[in-house]
Amino acid sequence: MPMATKPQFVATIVFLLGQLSVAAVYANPNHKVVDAALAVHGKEFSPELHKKATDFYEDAKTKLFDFLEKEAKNDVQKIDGEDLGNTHMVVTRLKRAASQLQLLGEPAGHDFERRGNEMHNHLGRLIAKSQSFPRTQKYIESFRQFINNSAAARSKAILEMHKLAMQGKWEAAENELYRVYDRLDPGTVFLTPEENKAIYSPFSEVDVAITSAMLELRSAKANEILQQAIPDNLPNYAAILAEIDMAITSLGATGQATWHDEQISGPELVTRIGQKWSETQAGALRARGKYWALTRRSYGTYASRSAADPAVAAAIADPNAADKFANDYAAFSRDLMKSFPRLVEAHSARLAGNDVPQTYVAYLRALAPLARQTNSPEFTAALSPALQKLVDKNPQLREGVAAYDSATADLLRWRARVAESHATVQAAEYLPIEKRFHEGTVSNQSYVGLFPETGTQIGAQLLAPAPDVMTTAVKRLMGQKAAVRDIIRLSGESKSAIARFQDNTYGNVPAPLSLEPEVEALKFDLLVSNQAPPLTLMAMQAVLTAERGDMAAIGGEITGVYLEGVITRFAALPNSAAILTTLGQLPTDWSSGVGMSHVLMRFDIGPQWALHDYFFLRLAPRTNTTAPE
Amino acid sequence: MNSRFPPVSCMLLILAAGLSACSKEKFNELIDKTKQHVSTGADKVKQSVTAATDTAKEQLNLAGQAQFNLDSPIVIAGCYASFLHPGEDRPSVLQIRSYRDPAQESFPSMLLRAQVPAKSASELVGQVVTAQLFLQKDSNSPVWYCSPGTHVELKIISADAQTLAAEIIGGTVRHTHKDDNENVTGTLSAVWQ
Repeated sequence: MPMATKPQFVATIVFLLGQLSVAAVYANPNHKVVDAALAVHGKEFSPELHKKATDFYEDAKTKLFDFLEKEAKNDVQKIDGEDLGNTHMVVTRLKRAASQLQLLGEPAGHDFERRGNEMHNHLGRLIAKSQSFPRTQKYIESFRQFINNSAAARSKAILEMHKLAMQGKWEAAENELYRVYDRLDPGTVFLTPEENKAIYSPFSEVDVAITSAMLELRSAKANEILQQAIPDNLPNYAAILAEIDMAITSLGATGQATWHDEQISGPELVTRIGQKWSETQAGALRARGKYWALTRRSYGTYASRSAADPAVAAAIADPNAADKFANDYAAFSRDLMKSFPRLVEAHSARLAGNDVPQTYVAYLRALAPLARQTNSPEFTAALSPALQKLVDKNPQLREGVAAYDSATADLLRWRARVAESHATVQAAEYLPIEKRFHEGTVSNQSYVGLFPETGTQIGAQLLAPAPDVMTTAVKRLMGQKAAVRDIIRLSGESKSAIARFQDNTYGNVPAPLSLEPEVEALKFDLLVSNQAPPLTLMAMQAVLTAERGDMAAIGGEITGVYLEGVITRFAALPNSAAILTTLGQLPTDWSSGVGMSHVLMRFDIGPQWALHDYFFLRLAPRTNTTAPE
Repeated sequence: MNSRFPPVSCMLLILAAGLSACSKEKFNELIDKTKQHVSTGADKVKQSVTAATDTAKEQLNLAGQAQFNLDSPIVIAGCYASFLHPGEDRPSVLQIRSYRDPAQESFPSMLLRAQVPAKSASELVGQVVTAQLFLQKDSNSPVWYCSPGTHVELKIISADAQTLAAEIIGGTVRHTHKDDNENVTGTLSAVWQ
């Protein structure tokens, strides 16, 4: 795998020395702690391994910083050879934890392995340089004496390992093997190949047996965990659609819907179905994420073992299975979308004309947020006939809605035109965030990042250890002007809004924004007051999104960057974060499935302008830009 | 621009001119075919005639006209007014635009809109109402519009069953590609939609 160059690693060290020396407060490498570890998605084994690997990394890093500083000052003779050897051993332990994390489908393991390889690379060079110095020579001689004196103890240890292996106590055998190896590693890095062959060859038979057995055991366990995680998270689409059908039937029969043993109104049923839809999407994303972890994890010799669950076995065997998750979910969403017009029609058939106006407005209020979250013209179009049928039951309302539409639809068309015109002005200065992401992480002659210098690649991928990638990325990206799109506030009261996932990025923007003058002007134009609500779905969506702060785009400076594993982000997505992706579909950015090296970036944006569907507002005084490094 | 099809009466005259070369039976057959041709194409004729009529009227200033004075004068052929009553709890809306409906929009294009407490346009004659203006020279050009805090002042000069005359006597608009407000005046002579 391509390695970062020495200057890049040194640049990372210099950068890290300049940062606050704190334990990683944030999971995932970020602008404040570029070498924080990538997070893990698993709950079994992964957290413990993650902690182990992080501790080994921090320990080795501290030592390596010191060694490299001395090397830079031509003071290699001041480095304690035993210290070098011990650090080499710690990195070996780091790489063991990294490979076990990768067996569990954790991208963090992939990055830890990269970090470990790079550290071993530097340590190898320092070890070679240090060998000729008297201080190290003294250590090597005392180590040779230790080797001679402990030969019998090593033979005894091999017999013990053999015995444990014969008893099937593989973990105990492995612990013993690593106990011995970790005592040998610090010194054998200085010895000759012939000396090492004499020391290690007696272990080869028992090493192979223990390593193979533990790999098989660990892989099988990881298989079991990940395979189970798929059906644990994958929603039962048929059951959900059936539940919705029953609720609509009860609404049509009695005027109230039965939903989870509760009697609720038609508009409330719309809201509950929307919530269920959102939870279902989160489940589908998690299931697909776990599938990626299962089928694309490293050391995959054991990854394709037959699965206990036939459905999962079929999925593993099918090269297009990753698409199947997206396709099945899309089919479910299409069916679910059809339930909304049916719901309105079923309720409408029961309503007396006098009850229609209030109910109609309540449906608009419940449906408008879903129209925004799906961003689907098909969703809105399918609702139109059902809503018209409802309106037609009250001739006065029908007239009023028609007149209201005549008085507001063209206004909104012009407002959208004004907003779009403003957006084109901003485009030159505020590049789309995915362009900034590429600019900030594309490789060149002195930098290995997330995208190759030439040629194409599916998605963003770690081509070097994350700290090296992030050191340059942070310098290139922080303070840059960028525009994020499709922003939805987490809730009406939340302090942040999410620019939803697209092109390997998502964004975080503070909320609320100061939009009052524009919101009030929009409501005035739409003839809305406390006594007079919007009377079309388009107008209701315009008002509700403006009041919440759901924006078409926001432009500002990049104030934070966070690197995440794609598998991790989706395999561990909580229901509350389902808003991350457009409702009704799973992202399909990766045609051939997502692997261990695939990453995405979250951006924090300090907003300077906001673009709604129907207005544009500058939020801060214009400042001069400074040229990037 | 002429209508796509010549009037039926013209076609019949043309046919009659060739009568000497045709038998009477042949002549009736041709008439029937002509009528059939006209009736099956009647809807298409009606639509294109309406559009063509509007355009023709616009060119002859029979469909209203608007003129705006900004950095340079903008003259728009076609000016259609509506007086809308969106409901008891809402003000009436006087809407003036350069197209009968958005599908027929051409450029330069404009929408002028005022919320008024009146029940009819005639009540507004002689009054000055606050309005918002949207104006665009062509489909890719910037837009003039009234941002929060800006408006135009529209004086209603006259209103009868067929027409509405009004004048923008003051006010400002913003330009989407600039940061400042611009003064605007203008005249509108609209036909009721």
